[in-house]
Amino acid sequence: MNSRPKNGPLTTESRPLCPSAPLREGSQLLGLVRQEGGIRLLAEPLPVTADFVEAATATGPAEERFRFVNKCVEKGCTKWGAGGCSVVASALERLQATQAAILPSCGIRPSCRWFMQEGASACHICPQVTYLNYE
Amino acid sequence: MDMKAATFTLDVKGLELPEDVRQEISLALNNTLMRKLGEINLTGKTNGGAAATGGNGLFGKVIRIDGGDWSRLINRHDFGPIFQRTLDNKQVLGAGIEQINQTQVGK
Ligand code: SF4
Repeated sequence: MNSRPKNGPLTTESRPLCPSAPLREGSQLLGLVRQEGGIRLLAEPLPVTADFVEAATATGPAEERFRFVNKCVEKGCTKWGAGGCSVVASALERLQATQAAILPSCGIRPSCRWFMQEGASACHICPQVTYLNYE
Repeated sequence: MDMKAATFTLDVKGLELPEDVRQEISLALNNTLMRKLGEINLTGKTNGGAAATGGNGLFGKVIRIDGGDWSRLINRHDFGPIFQRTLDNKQVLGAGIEQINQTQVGK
């Protein structure tokens, strides 16, 4: 896509966000994995609490039931490549999204790495991405 | 599954409480809400099993990310608070869940 929004200068304060991060310190709840496949996105991410973490991890990796958002750590992530985030790039290669006029309601769009990199197409495939924690 | 917007309003009529007690109750309600949210499993699988990948056929594929990769981060200091917002009752109870209706086709 040649009309991608350009990233601004990155600072610690205004770091782009990874919309499919593991449950780690600072992660916030972005969505719930649903039975039919795909994600129910929260209109606003929720800060997770100790109670949430305890309950969410009691029966297995929380990432299989939830999507989390955290800072995009760029070169600190093995999914980061020359073209940016390879996760959204490969998702776009493998999935063909119907280009619905309305994007999913999402509270992190202005800071979302995937949206910055791929524009609206990212939002069309975003609800299909599930983070599988192999740890 | 019958899904409805998660709106909760608690109005105890006639009861007046000091601010610190109200805050304490509010925090306890938040904690209960977050714990219940953590227990939610909409995947249709039990015991944290992998989520459905095909479902009703509308979703061709679910991309899975190797969590180990993200975990082997070079700089652990990259983790940390991402929003400088404090958790309060209003924020938690005010967040809506958006239903995504979209047909996706795998290649
Ligand atoms: S890709 Fe789009 S829908 Fe998904 S988290 Fe980013 S801005 Fe939100």
